[in-house]
Amino acid sequence: MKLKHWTGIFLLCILILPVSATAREGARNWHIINRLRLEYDDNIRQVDRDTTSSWKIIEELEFQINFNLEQTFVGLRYKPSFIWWENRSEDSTDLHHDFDFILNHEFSPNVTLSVKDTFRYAELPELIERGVVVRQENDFIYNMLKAALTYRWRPKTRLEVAGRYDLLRYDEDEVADRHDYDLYVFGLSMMHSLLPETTVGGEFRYESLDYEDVVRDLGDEIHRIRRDSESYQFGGVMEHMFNPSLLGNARAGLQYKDYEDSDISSETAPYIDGAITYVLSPATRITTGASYSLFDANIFPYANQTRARLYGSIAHDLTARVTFTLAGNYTRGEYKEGDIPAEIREQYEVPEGSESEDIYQLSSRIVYQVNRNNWVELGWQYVKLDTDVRMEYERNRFNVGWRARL
Amino acid sequence: MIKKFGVFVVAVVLMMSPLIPSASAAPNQQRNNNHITQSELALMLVNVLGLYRYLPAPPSVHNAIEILLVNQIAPADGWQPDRVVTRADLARVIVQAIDRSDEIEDPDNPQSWIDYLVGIGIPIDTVGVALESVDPMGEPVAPYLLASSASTDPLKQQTVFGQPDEVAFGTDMTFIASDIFVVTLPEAVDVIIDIPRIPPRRRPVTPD
Repeated sequence: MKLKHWTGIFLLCILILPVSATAREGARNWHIINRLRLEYDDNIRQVDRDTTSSWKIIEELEFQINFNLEQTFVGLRYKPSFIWWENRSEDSTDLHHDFDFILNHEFSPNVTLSVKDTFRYAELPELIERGVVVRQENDFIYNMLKAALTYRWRPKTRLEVAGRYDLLRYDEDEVADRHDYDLYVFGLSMMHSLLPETTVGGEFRYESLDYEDVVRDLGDEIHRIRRDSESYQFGGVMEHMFNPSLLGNARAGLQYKDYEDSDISSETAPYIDGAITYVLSPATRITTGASYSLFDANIFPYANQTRARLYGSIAHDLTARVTFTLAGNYTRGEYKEGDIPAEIREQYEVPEGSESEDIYQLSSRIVYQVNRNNWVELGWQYVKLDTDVRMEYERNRFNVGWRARL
Repeated sequence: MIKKFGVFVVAVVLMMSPLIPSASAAPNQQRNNNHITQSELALMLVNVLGLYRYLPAPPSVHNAIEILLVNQIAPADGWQPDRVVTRADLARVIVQAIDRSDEIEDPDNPQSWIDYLVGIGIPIDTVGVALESVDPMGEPVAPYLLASSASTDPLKQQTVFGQPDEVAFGTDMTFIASDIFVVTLPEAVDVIIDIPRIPPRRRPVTPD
């Protein structure tokens, strides 16, 4: 389906729904927000040497429509983004489309349904340097659909059954062969409020990750590279409000992961994550957290990584109109030779033993609220990829922007 | 597959269409403040403020309170999930949600918040009517995005791509969701293997 068809569908949704909605007296349930940024990017190719820098103009127009009914809430959001690159010879423009949909419906005080859909269409052009394809055309479609049914079977106990389906599709066949996937998740949770401030629960999760099989015809034999996996989690979860200014949550359990490729050994490992939100003062809010688990491998041809992540953010109001935010994220991924499909191990020289990757991300922003509907912002973002398994790079981006609620 | 997905999107829109007429007929006006707890109010607020897209579906009360707290929206004594919402609580969080706290003359006096809303013509007799005055936040702080990308729960993990997802997350963060931008060595080998073998061009003959 062509991009213009997608655009047509979304614009139709946007145009039709507000017309019906305006029948409601006195309430405006549609909103438009515009964001315009000028950005300097010091490494647009995300490479380790011979970096290219470029100025960018980023224009985003966001449409939101909410229907807040007696038993139902429906929210729709569509955001096209246009980017112009001053110094990107292969293609100076990108156009992305984001679409979000949520439906929360209360069948009765004890039964609720929640549906959420997240859609992304992104354009990333082919990049050819010195006659070599460095990055292929990576236009892609991503969609995540999640539905959850919650049943409160006792005043303090609820049961949740949930499912999720993700798909990622690249336009370019070569990229699609390696990265297209379908993800299916099924979850069952039972949560119990021990106290008004404390909820505990038990959880089961099943996850099936299906990649496109990469088929190699080597003449006398056909090789099939399979990275598909199935994962099961059994564990507990706790949410607690220590006081009105301090909230925490934790999740832990055991994970069993099995692979379609019988040469990759199945694994059982613990998983754990937790987060704390602390309001230090009315002007200062802090969030921090950490996690550790077996995780999907971001890098072809690995089928798994062991990932640890540590993050934190602080938001501070310097004055009533000026807010400063700082966020940091550190991720460490461990990749094992044994998690590479046998077909690859036999054909290519692959890294022996265990390899690791460290990702450092830092971002800060200062926002000045000019009036109720206008904000001016200044931002800096930094990424450093320190890795044994792919190209390393560092990247800084500085931007100045204007955001307006229309 | 793309065609199927397109059909799905259209189906979802069509499924929603029966809801649209009822939007004009049955706004959320019937709920009386006496029957609403703070946890219910928190869940309603994240919807009307447009914060739902940063939260898992369905968000827990804990998720909702967390994101409201970091956006400086809370009753005078903080969020207490089981407590019934009072008129003063409602007035306070509505004023905070419409970002007008700095206009309250005496913030320590609960009546001051109520008077302010009455003064600008926002009724707070019911939660539903009061919430109609609340627009989506222009600049939300959404630390949940950091948390969801780090989550070990496959139902809560959120895939965050680069440029398309760079919206106002409070602080922009480009997560490296996959090697979308960089090919790996084995990939490069594969790509080279797959490139059709084209004979080299004959070099142009030049006078020298």
